[in-house]
Amino acid sequence: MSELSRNKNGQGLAPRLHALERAVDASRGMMPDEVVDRAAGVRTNAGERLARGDAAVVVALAGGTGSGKSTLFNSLAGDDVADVGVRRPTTTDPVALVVGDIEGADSLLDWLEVRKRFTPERKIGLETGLIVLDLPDHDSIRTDHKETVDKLVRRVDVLLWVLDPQKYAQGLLHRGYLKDLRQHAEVQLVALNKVDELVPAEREACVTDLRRILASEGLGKVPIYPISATEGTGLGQLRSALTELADRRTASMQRIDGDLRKAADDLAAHLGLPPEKPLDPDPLVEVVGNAARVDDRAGAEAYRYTVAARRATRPPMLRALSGIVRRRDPASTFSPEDFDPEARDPSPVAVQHALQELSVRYGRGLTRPWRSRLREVALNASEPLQKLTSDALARVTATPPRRSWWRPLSLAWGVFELIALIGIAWLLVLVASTYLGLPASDPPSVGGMSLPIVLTVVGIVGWVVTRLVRERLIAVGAKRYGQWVRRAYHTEIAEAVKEAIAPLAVEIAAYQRLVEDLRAVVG
Amino acid sequence: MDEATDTAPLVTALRDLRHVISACSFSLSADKADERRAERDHLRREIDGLIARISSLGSPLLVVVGGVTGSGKSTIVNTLVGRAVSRTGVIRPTTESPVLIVHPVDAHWFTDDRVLAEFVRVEREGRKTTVDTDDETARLQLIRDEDIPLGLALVDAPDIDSLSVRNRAIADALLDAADVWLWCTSAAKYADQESMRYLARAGARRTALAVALTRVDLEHVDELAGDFREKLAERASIEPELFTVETARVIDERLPRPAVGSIERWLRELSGPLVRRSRRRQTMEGALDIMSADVAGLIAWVADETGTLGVLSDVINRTIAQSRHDFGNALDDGRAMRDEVLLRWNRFAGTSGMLALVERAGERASAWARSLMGALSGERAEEEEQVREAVAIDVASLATQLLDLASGRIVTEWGTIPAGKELLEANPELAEAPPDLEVRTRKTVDEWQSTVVRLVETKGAKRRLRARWLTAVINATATGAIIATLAQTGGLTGAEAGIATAAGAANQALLTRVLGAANMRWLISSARADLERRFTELLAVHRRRFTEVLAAAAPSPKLIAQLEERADAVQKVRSCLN
Repeated sequence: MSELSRNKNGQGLAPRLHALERAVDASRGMMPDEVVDRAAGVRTNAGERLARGDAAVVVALAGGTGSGKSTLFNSLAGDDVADVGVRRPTTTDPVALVVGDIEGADSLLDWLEVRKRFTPERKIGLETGLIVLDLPDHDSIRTDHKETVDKLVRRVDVLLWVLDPQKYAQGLLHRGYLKDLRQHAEVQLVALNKVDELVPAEREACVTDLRRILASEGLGKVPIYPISATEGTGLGQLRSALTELADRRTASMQRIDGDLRKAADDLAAHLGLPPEKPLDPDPLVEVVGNAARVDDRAGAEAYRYTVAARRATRPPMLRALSGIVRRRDPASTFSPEDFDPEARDPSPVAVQHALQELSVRYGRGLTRPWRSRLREVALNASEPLQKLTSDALARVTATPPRRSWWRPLSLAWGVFELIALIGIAWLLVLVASTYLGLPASDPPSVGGMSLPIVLTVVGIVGWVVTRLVRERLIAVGAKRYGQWVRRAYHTEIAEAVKEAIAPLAVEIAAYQRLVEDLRAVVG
Repeated sequence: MDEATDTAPLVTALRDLRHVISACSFSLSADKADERRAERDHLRREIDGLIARISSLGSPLLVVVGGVTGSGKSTIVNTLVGRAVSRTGVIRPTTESPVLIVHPVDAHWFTDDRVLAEFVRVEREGRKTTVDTDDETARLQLIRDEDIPLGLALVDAPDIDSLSVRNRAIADALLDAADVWLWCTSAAKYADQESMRYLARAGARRTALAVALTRVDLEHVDELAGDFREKLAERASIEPELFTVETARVIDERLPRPAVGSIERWLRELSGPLVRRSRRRQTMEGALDIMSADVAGLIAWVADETGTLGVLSDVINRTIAQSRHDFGNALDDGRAMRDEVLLRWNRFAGTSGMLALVERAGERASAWARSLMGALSGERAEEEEQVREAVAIDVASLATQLLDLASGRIVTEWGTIPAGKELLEANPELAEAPPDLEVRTRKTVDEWQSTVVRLVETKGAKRRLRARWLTAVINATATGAIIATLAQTGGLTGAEAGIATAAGAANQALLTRVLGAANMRWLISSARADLERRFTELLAVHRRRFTEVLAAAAPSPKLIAQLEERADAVQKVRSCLN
């Protein structure tokens, strides 16, 4: 078995068969049933053939009605085993010629459902290990013959097509069989029978034309043996070709190798191009973020920060006054403070549309059933996504942070305020006393300037500068906080999106696995 | 001349039938289309053949030599004519271009296109020439030969079963037009399925035919002929004249003359005026007999397509209805518009002095009020514009998204139906959004907004808003109504549910004061109805993209009736042949 499961290149058939099994499962429902069934049949046949060992090489004589299969069969057997006759069609049940005592031959023939078996007593010029089958025709009015042929053509190791000069270009043979066997060039032979009816020049022309047709079908490598089964012409070469096949014993593996490549090709023909990139949720996060109005939420938070910071950094005097003086009515334009984050979740239409767009983007290049499945899976993610997004939005609990510089700034501002007030008060006292003519001492001077004036100027300038600095700091702080909130929402929404579109990612991954499996099937 | 006038109604009836048959395009038949079209073409060619023969009843009897590849058709023809007129050889298929051999006196029947109109004539004398077969049109080589009995035309057709699909099409065309078939098959191939299928077809329409079994070894003649006769009776229900042609050496592409002696005699008999007439009649009557059944076959297929059409249009209709419903839902749940637009408007409506202005609207406008209006109008106009723009963007994108989703759904569902899949592949633009979709939806929303303004104008005119300077108030009220229409929830109008906003009161107050509660409800429901109507129109345009493609592929609804009627008409007038 260990030797059996390796083909001539030393590559194991077992992993290729497993890959085919996975590919068949993944393709079911996504490709025409007959294509998938055929691939599944390859898997089954290969397993069953491998289980029956490589002691025998099964060669089937196939061809149209009246091409002389049975005559050739009898010539090879050296005995009249198969019925030959002039009435068409002749052979109904396949007959087996078993050369030598082959281990497992019976089990193999049981599997092939060939009941008529014949083992020649004497040497017939064929190697032990060879089983030659005479098949019924595939093109007569007996349609049950075609069924038998079709089954055996799928199961035998080597096909020896028996053609004749009259019918070698028959459409049914080429369109019905040979076109599906281009991967099996190594396990096919063609015998052009009845060449005795042709003069040598005609024979040459006929073989050339047949070779041209075969080459056009990708079977240029298939050897053609011009023979005459009745007169024995060319049978020697055919025998030695068969003997060589029996010697090599690789035919069953080569047959399976061809089957696997054919199955992979067939499945791949119904597969589009895989998506180039892994699923990228970012565009969807953006859309859901917009639909959930993350920017508005972040703006509202930044505004709350600004209000809190302004309140906390008011100078003590202003704070005292604010209780008395009402602030101006709120701006006549929209204020982010009004925004109620709890009020709305993203619109379902927007989310569905975004999901459809996502499926379209990743479905490009795929075949229709996969595109449809992606769309279906994507749209099914719509409700979970809305719910997850709603949860995600609720998870973000942003409170404007208190900053350490608020208090010192407020104090500094208060100090400047105080200095300015002292300066102004002092100046007022000086002015009043001068006006009333009260005696007053000159105020002390600093650097040639009167101290009250210095205090007033320093206080006012300091107050103004502090206010400017405060506004700048608050603006920067608000912006940073807003960005942080925005990021927090995005992170949460990205999580929600990732979770919601996980089924889509699974589909895409499955598709990519299928592509890889088919590559593995080819080997 | 008499014959021509007598048969005129039949020719007309056949032409009419042919015309209706041509209308069966079978574009919704998916993988069955090829088979159905082939059958339709068969029928059409048969009718052509009938018309050709009815119009020239005196023309030579068309004997078509057909059969399987390698059965020796051309060799037999060459032997009959006595010279190599048709190419033979071991390279299959041999005869690619059919050859028509006729007595020089009869040749005039075939030089124009009364018979076998679809073939281009190639006149040729004597030996074969190479004929360019790359050409798409089939050629018919016309050979005049005095060995052919008068009143007969012998056609060597290509095989029906070789690799060459073209050969088969040509052979079908010739066999459909034939008066008599001479079917050739060899001793090795006589039980071929394909060959038997053709013979069964000929049997079903009682085509006059004879069969030649070629390459028979002398010793097996009786056995094979007997077996073949049995099989013909059993499988094709025919008991034709059977000729056996024995295996013989082919010299100069001919068999020894005696090998085809019986065929020659048969041909000579066939050329007698009475036999000719009866054979032609037999084939024509047979074709007419089966015609109704053939047309009934077409009718069944057309009916099948009509069913498919129903399934495909059902997908469209269901999806479009769903989209309408979804649009209504989106309006109901108030998510057609972003919240900030709503908030922004309510704040504006409550604070811009609008209410105060409206309060004074009924009084005589004082100079003071005018100046205040002037001061406010700039700010208000800008604000209104922004709000309406924002609304337009939101509603248009909702509509666009719904239309896109509808397309996606139709495309997906069609993709699961073979005929739908084929339509999508033939019309790939269906899967893409139409390029002008966004422009159209936006235009629709803009028009809707204009309609709301007009509604406010008409209602307002009856109430207090007569003065011209109150245009500004009308605009503001219209914007308010637009907002209110989109902000209502659960299908309840603003007055009943309270406009569902955090600060809806201001807008509501504005609308109530300008219009009155009853009018406001009327206005909002009219605006809503108008918006839904406009969306329905957008959907209808969208729907047409699919229905037009479908209608182009689908059979006309009258087709079945027409087929039945015309087939009956043919049967009614066929008695003129007798």
